[in-house]
Amino acid sequence: MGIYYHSVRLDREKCKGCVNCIKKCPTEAIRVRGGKAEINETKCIDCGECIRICPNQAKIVVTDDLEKLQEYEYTIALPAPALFSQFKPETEPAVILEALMRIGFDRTFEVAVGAELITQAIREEILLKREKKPYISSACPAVVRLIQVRFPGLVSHIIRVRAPMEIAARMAKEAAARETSLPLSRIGAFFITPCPAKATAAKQPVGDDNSWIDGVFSMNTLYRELHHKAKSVTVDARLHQATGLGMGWGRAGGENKAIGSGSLLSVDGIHSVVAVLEEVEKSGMGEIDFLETQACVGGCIGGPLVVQNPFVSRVLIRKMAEKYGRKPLSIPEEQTAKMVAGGYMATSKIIQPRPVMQLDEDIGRALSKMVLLEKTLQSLPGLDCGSCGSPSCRALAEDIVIGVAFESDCIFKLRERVGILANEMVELAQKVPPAMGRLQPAAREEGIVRLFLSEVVEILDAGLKGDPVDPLRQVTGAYCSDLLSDVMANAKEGDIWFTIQTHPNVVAVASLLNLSAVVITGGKEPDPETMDKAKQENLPLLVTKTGSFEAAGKIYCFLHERK
Amino acid sequence: MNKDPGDEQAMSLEFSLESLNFIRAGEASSELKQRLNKLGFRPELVRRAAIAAYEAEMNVIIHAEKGTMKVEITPARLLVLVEDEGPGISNIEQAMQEGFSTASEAIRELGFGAGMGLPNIKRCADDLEIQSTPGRGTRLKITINNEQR
Repeated sequence: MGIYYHSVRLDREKCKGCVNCIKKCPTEAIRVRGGKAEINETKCIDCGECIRICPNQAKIVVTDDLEKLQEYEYTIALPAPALFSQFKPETEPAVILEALMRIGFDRTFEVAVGAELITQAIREEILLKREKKPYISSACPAVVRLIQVRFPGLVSHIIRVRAPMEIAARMAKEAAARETSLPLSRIGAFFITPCPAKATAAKQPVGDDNSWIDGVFSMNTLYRELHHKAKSVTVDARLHQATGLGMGWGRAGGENKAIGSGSLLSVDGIHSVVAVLEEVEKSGMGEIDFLETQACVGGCIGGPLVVQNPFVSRVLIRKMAEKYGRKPLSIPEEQTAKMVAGGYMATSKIIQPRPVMQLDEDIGRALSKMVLLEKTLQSLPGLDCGSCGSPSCRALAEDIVIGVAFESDCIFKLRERVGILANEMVELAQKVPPAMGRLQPAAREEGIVRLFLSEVVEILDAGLKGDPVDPLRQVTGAYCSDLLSDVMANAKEGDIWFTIQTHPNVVAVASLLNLSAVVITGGKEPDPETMDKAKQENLPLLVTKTGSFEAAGKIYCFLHERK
Repeated sequence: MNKDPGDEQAMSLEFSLESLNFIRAGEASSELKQRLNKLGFRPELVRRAAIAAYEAEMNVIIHAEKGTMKVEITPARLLVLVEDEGPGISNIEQAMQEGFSTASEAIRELGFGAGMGLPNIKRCADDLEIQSTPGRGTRLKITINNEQR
């Protein structure tokens, strides 16, 4: 484990290296390397989008084993509000809580009760203090981490209250310690989670150094046993404490409904959250008091670890919230107010940005890299196909400039290069050794046959690129080839060179050999870099619409007539 | 004083802005913001730049025929140049007052034209120059310095 704990992991056996997950990840944290997905530890926010999209179930969530209960003398189950919407409509919350006890917990404490307390802390902050606008909910840890990573400018907007599960864990453990006289260390609080984000937050909270939660169980692994046990339990209605106010937090909009007044906006689904946060960064959205932001579509009932269809559970949870109403609260309002004033709900640390998206620590170097990035991006096909293992062409360009990928990782660039190589091979294959009758390039005898550059221009109806050069420059021969190493081997000083190659290396070869000019044939245009380089090297660059064969032929005839 | 080699690094971006194209509105400032984040500028500076650029962009989209936004980025400062062909501003002093707006009723119904744009830009910028010729167009030069680097 590195600096960051992650509950989302990869099952290498199952991963087929397809590119579904890399394109869905909101922080572009995944690359495919060597046929397997790799998750970048510092960028991953444990939102679970990749779990949902993976067709091979290769993304898994690591939670605790039930055996962990044995490590504590007294154990408390902390069910998330979403748990109560996973069963049939007639299944009472008390039945589910009783079923949890049968699994082996000594006590239950609903996270919804924590949510009720948090609701009051939020109300005070946004309606009375009003220091920031808009405040952003801290309830969804995936969103909190998303803001740290992708919206570093907005971290100060995250409301400084703890997550309901933390409040619930602390209250439950403190109460259990009072009742049993056991030390806190012998009491274990276990959260029943709908998502990996909260599983991670319980191991490594963002706004505090330590969590009150000792272990996390996934909702879907407990489901079968709970479902089975729920059939046979006798109900003690007192077990169920929470009101509809806290229970409603399990669905999108529930947190805002509990807060009740003020200008409240609710957004769910990580990509929609990104869109709204971008809006906040741009226009400020100062008219909104509070943003409820949930990474999962539908809220916690849409978490990757739930069993029930989220649209069904949304109806169930809404009906339940109506049935159990908003009063009387499980903890009296005065007591909550005291707890709020005493700082029970506030996080101990200020949440810091984690700007891991930047290109370099030094802005100057980052600028150079970005200039290079933009240039690299221009040369990529722009299809965002993901075949290179990066989520988009832009991401690949970024990977190239920071040195973790190569341009040839792009299959289209690779194909282009293979094409050039193939052409060179065809040409090589057509070469016949002199003994078998290769035609010697024209006018080999240096100094005997001459023509002037101005004559070449005239014969070929060629255009001169760049600055005017000496029209009386002498041409002593000619060579025709598109294979650079062949030219290096066979062209003579003073030759003009016919080629269809347009890249800057042509200039390098020509000036190394002291050729008199380069003639680019077939109507091709030299690259801008090639022209720049030719100018530097004072090398005449001619272009002609005539093809290599015809151009060389014309010059050959001319030279031989002269001879 | 040793000159930071990074000082010579610069990058320019250019965006064209289209009148009343509300679908693409804000894209230029969004792109600018993403790049500044990538470059590692402080969040607070990125925020100011994004807001200033956004307001300037919206002004062109709401009021002008067309325009461009050019951004020059160096480690030491950001320069945002917004030029448009539009009605111009007849009284700049008045336009700088919060709440003053010449936006049409239709524009206001969309939630724009609150008369906050220019004052917002001024608040976010370290320096703001406005040149305007009524009937011709407006030129905004927004400077944001990267002081705490």
